[in-house]
Amino acid sequence: MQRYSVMSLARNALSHHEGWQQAWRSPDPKPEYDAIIVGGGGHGLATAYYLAKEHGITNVAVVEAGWIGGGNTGRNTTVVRSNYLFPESAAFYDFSLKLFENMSRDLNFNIMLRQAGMLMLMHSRHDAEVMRRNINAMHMNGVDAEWIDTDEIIGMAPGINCNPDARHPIVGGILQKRGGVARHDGVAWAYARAADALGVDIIQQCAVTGFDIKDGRVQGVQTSRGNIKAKKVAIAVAGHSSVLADMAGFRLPVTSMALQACVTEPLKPVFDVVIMSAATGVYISQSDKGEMVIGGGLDLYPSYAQRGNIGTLEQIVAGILDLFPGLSRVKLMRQWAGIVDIVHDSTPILGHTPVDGIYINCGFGTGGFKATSGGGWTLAYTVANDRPHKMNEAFTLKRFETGAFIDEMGAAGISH
Amino acid sequence: MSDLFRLNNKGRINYDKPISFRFDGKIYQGYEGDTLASALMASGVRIVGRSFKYHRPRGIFSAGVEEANALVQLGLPPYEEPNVQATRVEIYQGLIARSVNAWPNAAHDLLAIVGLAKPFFVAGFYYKVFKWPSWKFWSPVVRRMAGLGTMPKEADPDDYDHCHAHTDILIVGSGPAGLAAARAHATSGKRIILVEQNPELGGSLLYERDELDGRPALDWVADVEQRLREMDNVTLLTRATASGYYDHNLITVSERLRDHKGPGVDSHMPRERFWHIRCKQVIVATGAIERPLVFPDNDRPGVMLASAVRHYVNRYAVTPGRKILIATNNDDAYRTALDLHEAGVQVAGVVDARSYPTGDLVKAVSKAGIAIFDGHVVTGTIGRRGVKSATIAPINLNDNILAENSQTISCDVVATSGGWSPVVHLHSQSGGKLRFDEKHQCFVPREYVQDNICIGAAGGTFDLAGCLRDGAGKVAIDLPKTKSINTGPLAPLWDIPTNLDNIRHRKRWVDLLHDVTASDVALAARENYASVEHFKRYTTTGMAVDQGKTSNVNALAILGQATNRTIPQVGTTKFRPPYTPITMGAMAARSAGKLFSPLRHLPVHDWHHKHGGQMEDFGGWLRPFCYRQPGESEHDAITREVLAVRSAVGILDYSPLGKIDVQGRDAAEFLNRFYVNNVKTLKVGRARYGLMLTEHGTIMDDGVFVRLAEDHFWLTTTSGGAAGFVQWLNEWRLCEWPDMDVVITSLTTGWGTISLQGPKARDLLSRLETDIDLSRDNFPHMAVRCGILEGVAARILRTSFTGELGFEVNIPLSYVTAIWQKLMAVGEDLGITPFGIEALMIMRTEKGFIHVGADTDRSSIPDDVGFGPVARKKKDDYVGKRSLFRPDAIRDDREAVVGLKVIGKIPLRIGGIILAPGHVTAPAPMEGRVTSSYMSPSLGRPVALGVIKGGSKRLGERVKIYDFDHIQEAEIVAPCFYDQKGERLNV
Amino acid sequence: MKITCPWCGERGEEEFIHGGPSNVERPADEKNSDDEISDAQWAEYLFMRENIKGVSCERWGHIHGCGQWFNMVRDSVSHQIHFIYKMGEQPPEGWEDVNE
Repeated sequence: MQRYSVMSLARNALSHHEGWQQAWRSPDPKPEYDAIIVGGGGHGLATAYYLAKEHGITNVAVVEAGWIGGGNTGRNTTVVRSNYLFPESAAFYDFSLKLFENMSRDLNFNIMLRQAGMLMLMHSRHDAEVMRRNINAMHMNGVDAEWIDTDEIIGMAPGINCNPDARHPIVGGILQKRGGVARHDGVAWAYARAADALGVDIIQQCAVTGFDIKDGRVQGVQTSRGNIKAKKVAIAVAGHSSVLADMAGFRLPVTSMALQACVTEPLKPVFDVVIMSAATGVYISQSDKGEMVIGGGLDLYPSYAQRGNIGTLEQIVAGILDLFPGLSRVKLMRQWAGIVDIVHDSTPILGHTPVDGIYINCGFGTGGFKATSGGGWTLAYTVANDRPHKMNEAFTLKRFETGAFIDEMGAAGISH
Repeated sequence: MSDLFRLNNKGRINYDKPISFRFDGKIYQGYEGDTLASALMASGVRIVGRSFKYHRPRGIFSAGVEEANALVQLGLPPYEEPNVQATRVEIYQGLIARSVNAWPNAAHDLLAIVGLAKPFFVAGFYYKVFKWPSWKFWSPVVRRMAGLGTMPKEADPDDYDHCHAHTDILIVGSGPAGLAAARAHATSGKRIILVEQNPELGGSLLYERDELDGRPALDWVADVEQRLREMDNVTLLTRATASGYYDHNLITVSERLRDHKGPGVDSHMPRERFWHIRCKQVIVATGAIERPLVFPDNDRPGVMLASAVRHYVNRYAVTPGRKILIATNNDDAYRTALDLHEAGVQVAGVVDARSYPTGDLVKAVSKAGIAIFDGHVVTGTIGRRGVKSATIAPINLNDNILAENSQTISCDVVATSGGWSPVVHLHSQSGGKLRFDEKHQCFVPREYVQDNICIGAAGGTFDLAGCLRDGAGKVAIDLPKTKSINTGPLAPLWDIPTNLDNIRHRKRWVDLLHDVTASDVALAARENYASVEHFKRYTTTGMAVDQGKTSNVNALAILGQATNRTIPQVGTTKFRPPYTPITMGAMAARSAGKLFSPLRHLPVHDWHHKHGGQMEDFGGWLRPFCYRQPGESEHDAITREVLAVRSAVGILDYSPLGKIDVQGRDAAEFLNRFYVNNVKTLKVGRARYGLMLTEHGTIMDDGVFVRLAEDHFWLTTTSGGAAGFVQWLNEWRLCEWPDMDVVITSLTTGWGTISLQGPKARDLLSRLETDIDLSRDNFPHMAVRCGILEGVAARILRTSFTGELGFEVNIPLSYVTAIWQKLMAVGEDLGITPFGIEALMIMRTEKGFIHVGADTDRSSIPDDVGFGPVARKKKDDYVGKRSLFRPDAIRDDREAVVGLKVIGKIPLRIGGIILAPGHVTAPAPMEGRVTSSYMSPSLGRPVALGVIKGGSKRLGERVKIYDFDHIQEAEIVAPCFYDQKGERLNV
Repeated sequence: MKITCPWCGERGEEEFIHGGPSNVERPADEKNSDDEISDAQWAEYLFMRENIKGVSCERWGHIHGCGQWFNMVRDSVSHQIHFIYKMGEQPPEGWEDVNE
């Protein structure tokens, strides 16, 4: 792998940047692999990378129907954080965050992780009580969290509406300093490049059309570019999980819905922190280009359309203006949507499926980006060892029968 | 100074109305009809902005929504607006604008020093560096340079409206095609809305010197406009941009009502209307946008779109320069040469990449004596602060080779045309597909998914007669006659040949706003960011304010060249809404601010407010937290209220309580399927407290249900859960059990509720005139009585959430204030005391009554609040029952509600975490938490409820509770601190 | 989307709520049914969904209108609504093939 550094940049500048090599190859599929990852999003690419790096399994293909990082990886609002309530979630997401913290160097690719903090606002006495539970729980889980008062919030986010007469007045917030944002495309590309360097084949424009299953065990996958054999297949396709599960003959407790996001025109940077407000149902950060990156709730019906409706977006914008009235005369530049895989308890499904040799990573719903690293890492572990790691053993399909949910949304009223 | 570049023709300018304005601190003058761009051009201002990355000086590039250079911060607080395209601003007296992304101003920008680092700042360079020490370290440096305009600091004084409309046909665009379509369909009687983003109708006819029926085309436009305005079935909207195309032919349109009048003028009107137009058919007549040719230093001030030059000359009577060179690969740009010639501006020549062009316009130019450099391309421009000359060289298009023998031509403007790209944005947003038109080298609509059609240039028809025909469609109308012009074919030319090193290594700009060059595109291809989406994201092409309106197709073509693919093989990225950026205030309109989620008011709101009620938002209702008397602290007030209830009588406006009336033959059977308690055995006139579950077995809500008659029930719910529970009942009734005879009516806001709590509650209520026997024996606890109270129909429920004798008096809403005031008057000597939510919370905590939403969350099941046995014992099936038998519901270490008796005098904090045994501080495994906690005025010590693993099995155990690094100890006790035997209920 | 409520006619999607697939049947609510329905069967009813990419039958409620519930055949990719039919009715024959 051609190293990226200041030196290599300077050297290539002299040759007009004509000496840079491919970040990853575009090989044709081989007839057989030790493992196939279906889905070239961040999670799938990370799975391939960790299979190769941590478990020495390098004869791996990532098959992607479109182009890598083109699904939710490239459509989310790039937030990373680990401020979770339940120990199972906190352990998993904090591990993910730690992988993010070291990712740029590990993968020799700047993923632009900016840990400027993740601020959750509280808007009422009741909010404050709920948040107090959250912050104490985070301390219990060993996750950093601080109580922030309104003066500090104004300092961190000039222009925010701390007027007590606001419809949802801000009475304080919780800050996770280690939270922040990372460049979403960069994460996919960084994993792709590093996995490719370890021998992983990244095969784009290759849609899986079926599975070869014999006696309840997977033998390989059928694709638009021919059949490929493999004894182990991992599925990481988010909103399309049900479609793949159907091909493999099982069902999932998943509903696919559109989650919208939008950006404003670029503005001179006003704040660095990511701000989330449960009462108004929105979150906002400002990108390194200066755009306000805005997200909110789901379009509440099943959709595979990758586009959102206008009513939800108007609601999101109204919520943002409640927080930042100064944005009223600012213009919205682009609106888009991703197809997210919603499950009952907003907790992933990460592990075995009813078919031997097929593993799945899905159910991250609206919050998969921050788990790209941990999701890939634990799935790789599960594929390599045919058993879950301690970190993902609670994330089973079985919980839908036993009722042992990890319901962050139900408890804290916050997902994403 | 101001008319330096003004021409003698009239254009669409009103010379009788001069307008002065300020740009970057200097005062200029223009006229009514000018845009900010045309007025600046008339005054000779060449540098109007700086580029995003390198702060290169940039000039006006276009005359419309595709403008990539001339962005300004418009207006002063509180009316300022960032990132406004100067080409779209109609000037008004006193206008103030400054350039964005420049310091101190566009003409002299000290940040241009960044440009020195250009060799390093190639596409994606930041992915390769800044890994040490961390991006967090470097990002502040980058962020200091980021962004364009500045965010307004003051609240927006303007209003915005949403406007909803239904129509048969929506026509987007009023050029020749759109107007012909409007005329053709208008006579059918169908409802038609025509939207035009410009202040005037006409589209390209506003700036082309076309003739229709031998008269200036604008005469025809005026005729059609007049006819349309006279028709009731036609609505014309100008300054209105169709921005988004959504499901089922829903189009959003931003209509700007008064920006052109200046800030604060006509402020009784909304600033913008954001239309939702649902229509049977959309006729997309949005025209096309010209794209530039790509050549070295094609970003200097003075390099412009050829059509934009015509636009300025013909419509605004202003010329961008004195000596204009035209660079093209098609016939259309020859119009610019002719129009300039006609206006008396010197044309330095037409540089045409094609050898031997033959069209009618070419002949006309030749006839006018203008030099034509055929088989040549522009290979560079010279001039630090704007074009002073250009170099041209012969090109061999077949072999894509540039010859070395170049010549320099003196000029101050290079007008460039690389062909036209249809505005297919709305079509693409609708889900429609595109195909590549080889003849015109552009993407045109292929497959329609929704009911829409693209006509005129938007559909790939570029000649005037064709546009008119497209507009008329199948309707037979008289179309005006056009002059036939014979045009030669366009020669595909994207990047100029790079066989010469001095060309290859020079910056050839593709995306002006984001400073993306042809070598950036090549670099992306080299690094295998070859998919169009990867390339777009890697280089950020087309992601700026202009969304790549002039750069996308060039970029795709250059990417195709670099990867040996044709343009259709490369494909396009999907167009996302909005077409042009839309004001956020307009999107939110009236739902911003107080109406974001409107607060509900209590029937006695004014009284509460007048009597010291501290009104706060509780679940969307403004309710009194407590009533402070003069000189009282919050704490004093709450203490007084609690003690008054415990010793005399308190009065609470309990109107938000959910109230649901359920009637019908099957009412009992129906409701029995929703409560963990038995509903069927409830006797008429009696009430029972119950829990309702979701199908997951979790607690949805709680409340008292009352049997008024065999077939008639009255349910109460929490105020927050009321609407949801009615909807829930109805969904089951209509979808699962449609044959049951049940009618469900929500009375939450139809009836008000006054709650009287305290040992003197009966005394008080008896003082009102009523036919209800209130005596202790005839009206027992958990009974209901209907009758007349002070002449008003009332349903009175004897129940208690405080542990004291209590009556809930339900009466139609309009009488609540009268009854309230009467009670206050007659109860004065009894010590009647209004109390607020906080006192209520304290008293129910003293009694250990759970509060759904505080002591439970959305994963709590009946077992967690002591209702496990009741729920499991019930024989009949009910919603959620089966879930209570899953393994996780029957494990014995679930977190269940207990009392917490704190050791010491300081109350626990709600949200405190109970540590696992053996742990003294965080981090530690969690055993439970504090869910309700108060200083009890009745007992003079703290009381608290919490949930803990194992619940009541752990009575007597001492636990440590963590809150923000503080540790307190508490003993686990039964969840009732006050009157444990419940004797006070029976007074 | 524009939804034609069988009782009220064409309305904007903001007035409606999606209530899940139409074909999910609640396991028979006989007395003591908890002995008969396995955890897996119950999970199947509560959670397992076909989540079809394409045409399927869904339940919708006109909750900000007449309050009635009804069924529709809708495409989850194009969002096109092919049929709307009342509660208790069956979708028109051949509904699965509307896209072909």
